[in-house]
Amino acid sequence: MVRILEKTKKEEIERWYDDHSDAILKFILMLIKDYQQAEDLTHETFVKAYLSYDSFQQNSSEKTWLFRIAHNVTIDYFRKQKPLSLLKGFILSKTDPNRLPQEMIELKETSLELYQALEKLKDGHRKVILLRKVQGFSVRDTATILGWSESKVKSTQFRAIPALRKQLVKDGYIYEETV
Amino acid sequence: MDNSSLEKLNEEFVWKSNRKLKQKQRLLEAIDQLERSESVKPGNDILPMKQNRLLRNVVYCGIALVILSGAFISSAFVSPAMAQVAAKIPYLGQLFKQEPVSDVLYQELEKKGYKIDSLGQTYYGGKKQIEISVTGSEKYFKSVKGDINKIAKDMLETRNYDSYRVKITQYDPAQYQYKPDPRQEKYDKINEEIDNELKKHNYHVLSVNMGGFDQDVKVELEVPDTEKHIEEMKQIITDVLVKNKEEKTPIKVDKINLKKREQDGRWANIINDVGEDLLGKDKYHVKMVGYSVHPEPQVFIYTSLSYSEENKEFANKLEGVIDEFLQTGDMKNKVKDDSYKIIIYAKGKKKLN
Repeated sequence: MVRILEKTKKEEIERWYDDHSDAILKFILMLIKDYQQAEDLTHETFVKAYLSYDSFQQNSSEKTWLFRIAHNVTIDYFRKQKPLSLLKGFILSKTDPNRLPQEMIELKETSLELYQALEKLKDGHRKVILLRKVQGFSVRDTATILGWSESKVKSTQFRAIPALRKQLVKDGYIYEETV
Repeated sequence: MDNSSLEKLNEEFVWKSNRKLKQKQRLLEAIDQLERSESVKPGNDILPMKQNRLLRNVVYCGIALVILSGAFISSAFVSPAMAQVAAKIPYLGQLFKQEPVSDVLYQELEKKGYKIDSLGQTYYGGKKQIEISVTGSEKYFKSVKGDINKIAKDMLETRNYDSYRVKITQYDPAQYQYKPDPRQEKYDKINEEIDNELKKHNYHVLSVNMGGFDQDVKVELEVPDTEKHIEEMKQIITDVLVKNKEEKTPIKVDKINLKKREQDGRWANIINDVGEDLLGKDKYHVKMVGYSVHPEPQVFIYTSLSYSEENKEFANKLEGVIDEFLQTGDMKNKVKDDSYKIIIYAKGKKKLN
């Protein structure tokens, strides 16, 4: 009986992986800007989901739950890597998007400027835009994932969108008058 | 910018399916391991283990080659004995004339009968690694890993390559299956038809290929910039597209300067030779090499050195050595009469020479 349950759990995680691993990898990648590490943290997210499977309450969707784990895993990573990641952030900000390993990930040219502009935003702004606008999570789910209050999500989003526009203008991708 | 462009970012940012599958295999293996173990607490090797990158070789890609993937904190180059460093540099010329260590190692392992899936020199995350992926069961992997590691390390030692770490991973094809992409199968069929139609005429076609992302599918036609029948070729391609109900697919024509392309190929080759030793030995402080032939050939050497007078001196000497190497017999044949520049960068892409 236990064996059967184990098998079901594995199958369920496998299905979740098929459905959500892309979104999670991209979310993590845009937070930490290191492809290899993003793959490792995505792996870690699903292993943790497997380990904590029994504590999964159906009061949020599996996607929200997985994103919450992914976010926590990323925060933990930053905590451990703080001095290194600060340096890395500094170095990466001087590089160009060609550093994305093309054997592993592709970004269409039409979205390149958005990607670059998002990279330059403050962490909080970037997270909210990624979750609310790119992934389409509700305010409530975004709050659950980030461990914030709903009002914090709303107010951050309120500031994040103009910040992104400003960044796009600064980078020369859109003209002032079209904003 | 509007909401739709943000939503589009999600679709247009694509994790390659082969990577996703490989990671899936890794996850399922980790779960199997957890299921087998009595404790549900993950072992250290389950979570932080990095995955093989499955690269057959270093990808040198012209000027777009960017190095700074990150996690390096290399020590700034301090040279209390610059004379010593300079004295060692002349050996560079001799050491250059070697096949890539990954090629030689691959041949050696194959000769000895090991089942190797892929092997390459990789430079992600500021780490220089020889990555070896071994095909077969876990039992086979465990039985050969130690030997392969020893062979690889010995070979690196013979060459005095101290900058590489050896990483060996297992690849089990039984758990790693590609699903054929029906769209790609359709494109392959159309490509074949286009090829056949174009062959009936005497046009000079370098390549023609239909492919791309969902909304970005196009036919890319490469012809020499001297070709005069582009409109006729486009018509032939359009006819095939119409026949296959793909008439909305745009056709993109790239006119290629063949001399420039030939030159690009030669310099890609040259940069492999130039980089082999420079990347293998810590003493050169080289993180990556690159090249461009636009407008004229340039060799880029990216170092982990800080910007200082001392390091500028080192860079000038290094430039001399590379230049000397490019003048040697073998290399001269590759360089031909091209004039070229060698540019050596410090950290932060500041020119050192």
